[in-house]
Amino acid sequence: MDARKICILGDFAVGKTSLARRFVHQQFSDKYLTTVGVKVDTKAVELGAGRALKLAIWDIAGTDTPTELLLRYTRGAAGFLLVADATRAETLDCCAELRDAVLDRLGPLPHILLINKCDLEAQRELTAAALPSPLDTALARFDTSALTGAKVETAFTALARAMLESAP
Amino acid sequence: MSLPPRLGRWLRRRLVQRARPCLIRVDREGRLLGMDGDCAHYGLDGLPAWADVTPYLPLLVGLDLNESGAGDPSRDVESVAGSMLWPMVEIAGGRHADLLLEADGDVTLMLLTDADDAHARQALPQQHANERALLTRRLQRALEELKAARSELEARNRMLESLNDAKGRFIAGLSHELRTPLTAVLGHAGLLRDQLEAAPVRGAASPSMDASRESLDAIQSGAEHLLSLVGNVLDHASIETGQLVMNPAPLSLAQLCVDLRGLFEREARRRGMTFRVRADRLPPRIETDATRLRQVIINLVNNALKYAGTGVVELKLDWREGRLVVAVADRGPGVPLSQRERILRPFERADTSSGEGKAGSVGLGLAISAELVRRLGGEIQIDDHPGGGALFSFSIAAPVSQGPVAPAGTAGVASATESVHLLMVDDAPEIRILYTSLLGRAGFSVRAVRDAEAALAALAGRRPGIIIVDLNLCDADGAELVRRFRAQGFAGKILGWSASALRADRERMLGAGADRYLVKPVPAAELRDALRELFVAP
Repeated sequence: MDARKICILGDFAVGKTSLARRFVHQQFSDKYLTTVGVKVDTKAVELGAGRALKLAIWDIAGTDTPTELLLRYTRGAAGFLLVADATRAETLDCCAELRDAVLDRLGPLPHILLINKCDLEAQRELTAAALPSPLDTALARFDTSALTGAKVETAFTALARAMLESAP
Repeated sequence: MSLPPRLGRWLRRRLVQRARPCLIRVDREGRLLGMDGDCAHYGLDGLPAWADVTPYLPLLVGLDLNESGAGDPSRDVESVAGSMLWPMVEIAGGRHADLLLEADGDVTLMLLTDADDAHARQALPQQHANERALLTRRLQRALEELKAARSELEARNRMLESLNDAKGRFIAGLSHELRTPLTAVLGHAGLLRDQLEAAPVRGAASPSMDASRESLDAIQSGAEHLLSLVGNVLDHASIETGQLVMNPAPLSLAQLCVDLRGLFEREARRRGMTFRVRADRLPPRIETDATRLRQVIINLVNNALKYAGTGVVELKLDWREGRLVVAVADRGPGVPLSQRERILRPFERADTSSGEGKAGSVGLGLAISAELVRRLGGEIQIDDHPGGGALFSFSIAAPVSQGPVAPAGTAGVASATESVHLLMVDDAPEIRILYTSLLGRAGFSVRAVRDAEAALAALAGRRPGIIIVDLNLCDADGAELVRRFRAQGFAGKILGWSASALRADRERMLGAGADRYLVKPVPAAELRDALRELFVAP
């Protein structure tokens, strides 16, 4: 089975680890535990028509600005997920910065924007209407919830499919 | 640092024990060439030679092992040439390792060293730092929301203040427009009644005179009722807008009793009832807002007469240790316990109200009375009257007045004031005629003029002892006229009056130099008292 490395990038506490955990283990915990360094997990994704892809998912410690260490972690990635927190509008700016730095380092790569914590409707700051255009390089944008699982599987699968289709 | 060989060997052993290194050599396809060190610590022991290590080390997915270090920009930072460090990578079993990759010809070397301790040391401070940042961010957001809410509240407050001002102006206007003609109607009806009573006995007994008295009764009763309703609505609005102010002044309790008897004895007789006043241990004068105290008592007695419908209504005044105790008792149906608190609220009436009581009331009188008593320093109590009926009572702060004691009785007033010349400035002819007549009977010499120009001309002639000035004149602002009187050296007393009970109007008049301010309609007795006090005051 083909394997691809993907990275989950975003500001701290946007729910990157929760998204990975929901996708890989179908679990969720509302206790916030900071990621230090990087966590690597794997999961195979069925893409239909007999196609499948094994994802090596790099859940990288959150940061609001791209650092050299973060860029080093992304080496070898075939795509990435940018995660913003629906209840913190400024985390979207952070996604744009990280996206620019990664593309600058690794060249054009498929990437998808996730607006996470969409279950917290009352506290929501990021709405579809409020999203700025600088992130329109993303292949897609999904409103996700690691708590409910909404659109999580969809987002990972979409990225997997995009990576397969963009493979040389 | 230079160490002796034995210490050097010991240190090397110690560092190796702590780092638990594991060296893996793979070819360019990721096949295992060899392993050395503490491979079991990383779950990599037992891998067969030539096995693909990627399933065991998924962090190698995507990594091109054919890449040389020379073309990789990452190798220029934090790495020696041809190698790369990934620190603190979580691998199988939740362990953390630092991974150093180094190309060596066709072979790639992977050195894993334990990072569990380092991870544990960093995790907690990082967790705290992130949580602090989140809290700070939430705090900032809460502050921004509070700031926005405050701005919105301030804007709403400004709008409400503006509306309140408009309401105040409306109240003042309405007050003036309604009270002034009612004052005239009531005053002139009183004058007519006095003339009827003074008529020869033979004429007074004639049928036409009886009919005239009945007509006067109807005029006075209707006007008083209308004035009471208007007064209640305006008072309620004044209380709500914070415009109601109390004006403590010396009050003769004996005179108050006389006035109340005069006011209610005839009304009680008309209803086939009896009104009694009992006064015990009263000092000659107390300090309180006479107008408001009188208003409360009149309201309670009126209620008793209306709702009891039969028997005796008794007003009892007592003075104990600096407080005036007032009680109004009737023999009516009483007020059920469950309704006693409710009927003191605006627009509420007792369920037992019926007939005249319900038809002639909007349910404001008791609420206003309760608020006035509260501002006078007391609280209205509602109890059962022993033997049946209701007992409304309250006590208010009523210090004995230390002010000058004026001559008592009408004769005294007349003799004390007969030489006092009054100048009255009021643009309402009916008011001028009414009060000229009333004050003339009280012994004052009155000159009444309609506007500021005439008033200033009058001042140049015979110097008055007291000037009465209406706040709203046709050609000038009354407060401004007072200021001009003072500027021209008038040192006598000035009594300002108006139909407006607004605090702002009162303060404007007093601020301009008036000595007293009264709200029209001013009962004749109250006006005589006020003028008498001004006359004897230093």
